[in-house]
Amino acid sequence: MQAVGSFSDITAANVHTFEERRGRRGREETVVGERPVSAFQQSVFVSYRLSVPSINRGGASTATAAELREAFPSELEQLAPEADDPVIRARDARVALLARKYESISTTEDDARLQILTQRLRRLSPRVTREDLNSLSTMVGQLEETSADLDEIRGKFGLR
Amino acid sequence: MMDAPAPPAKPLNVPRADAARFSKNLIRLAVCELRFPTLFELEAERPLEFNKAVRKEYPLHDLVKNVNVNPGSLAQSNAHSFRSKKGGWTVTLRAAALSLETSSYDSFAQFEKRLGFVLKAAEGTIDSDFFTRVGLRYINAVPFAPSEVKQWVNPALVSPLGEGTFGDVEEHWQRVRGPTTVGGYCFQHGLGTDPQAGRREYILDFDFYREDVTIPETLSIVRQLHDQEYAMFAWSLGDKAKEHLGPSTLKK
Repeated sequence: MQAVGSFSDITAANVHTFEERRGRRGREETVVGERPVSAFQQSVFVSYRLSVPSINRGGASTATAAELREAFPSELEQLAPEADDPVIRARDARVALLARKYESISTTEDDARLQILTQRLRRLSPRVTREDLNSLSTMVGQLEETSADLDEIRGKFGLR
Repeated sequence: MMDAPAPPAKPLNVPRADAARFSKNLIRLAVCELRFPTLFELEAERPLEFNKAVRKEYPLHDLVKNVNVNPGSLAQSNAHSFRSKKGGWTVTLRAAALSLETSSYDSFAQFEKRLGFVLKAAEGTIDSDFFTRVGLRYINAVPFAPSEVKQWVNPALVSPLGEGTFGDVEEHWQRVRGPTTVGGYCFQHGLGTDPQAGRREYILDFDFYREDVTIPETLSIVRQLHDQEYAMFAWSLGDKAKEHLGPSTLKK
């Protein structure tokens, strides 16, 4: 699968690293699916223009601008227009990251943001609020008072 | 029965090299990439705060678009590219990475200064106080002729090529990956072609990195990566390349 569309030239387009020079594909390499074995094992050599880019999405090498042109997929278009509410914004971004995670295409960077957003949402929109805790505390107080009243009544009538 | 703990991995072991500065260099491309927790908003819209902060040094902005067509899906990704007036320097901001790249490398001091500027500009934009990975990569090129390759490149790397063991090769490269005392490295070397002159050349591509780096320690880590890469670069050269670089102009 070959990436289509165009990256406008960023810079250093004249630098042809290894990955750009290995123009031949298929015959010289053992192919697994559409990709040569080496493309799985050696994420830096991206001349094969894979549909699943290996270098830029959490790859193990420092990407150059020329390599960036080889594509890095995004679920950007799936995001709704950004909301003003920080909770909704964090929630939407978290959902997009979770979708990537369960599609097994998330990167280290995606996982790191997921953790940050999870913590942030717990703070901004906790499942149990301070009001909930105050209500519970009031109820416990009332129960204790009732229990004490019952004890007193039992004592008064010799029912203990 | 419990397994014995694995011995610690041996790090890269090349001789230390004193800092040097040469009037010429072999660097075709230098790039520092700082990866941070993904922020989709950076792809969706122009990062105004960052744009304003870097505009003076990098006034030329491009939205770099790419579209990937896969069976059943269409994925689009954007990156913002900010170029210096003369075009030798580029800052690229993506959803999960910020990079500084130059095809006009002069010295590490200059590179470090520009990186510090970019780092400061990005602090308010990336919504993170750490980088998941900091990588520094230098792609060098030396002239290639089979009879001279052992003079330009350390013979330990190219002996079979220089001695004709493989004949007139069409392709020759090697990739080495391992740990360093700072993080890790990937070293690739082999034959390439100068895209402008059409001549064959020998590429020495050094990529050193460290993961999980806080923003305040980033520049210090990049300097350590640079020092290690320079030591490896010095080791990988042959006598003729050293002669080509000339004496260091750095005062001891």
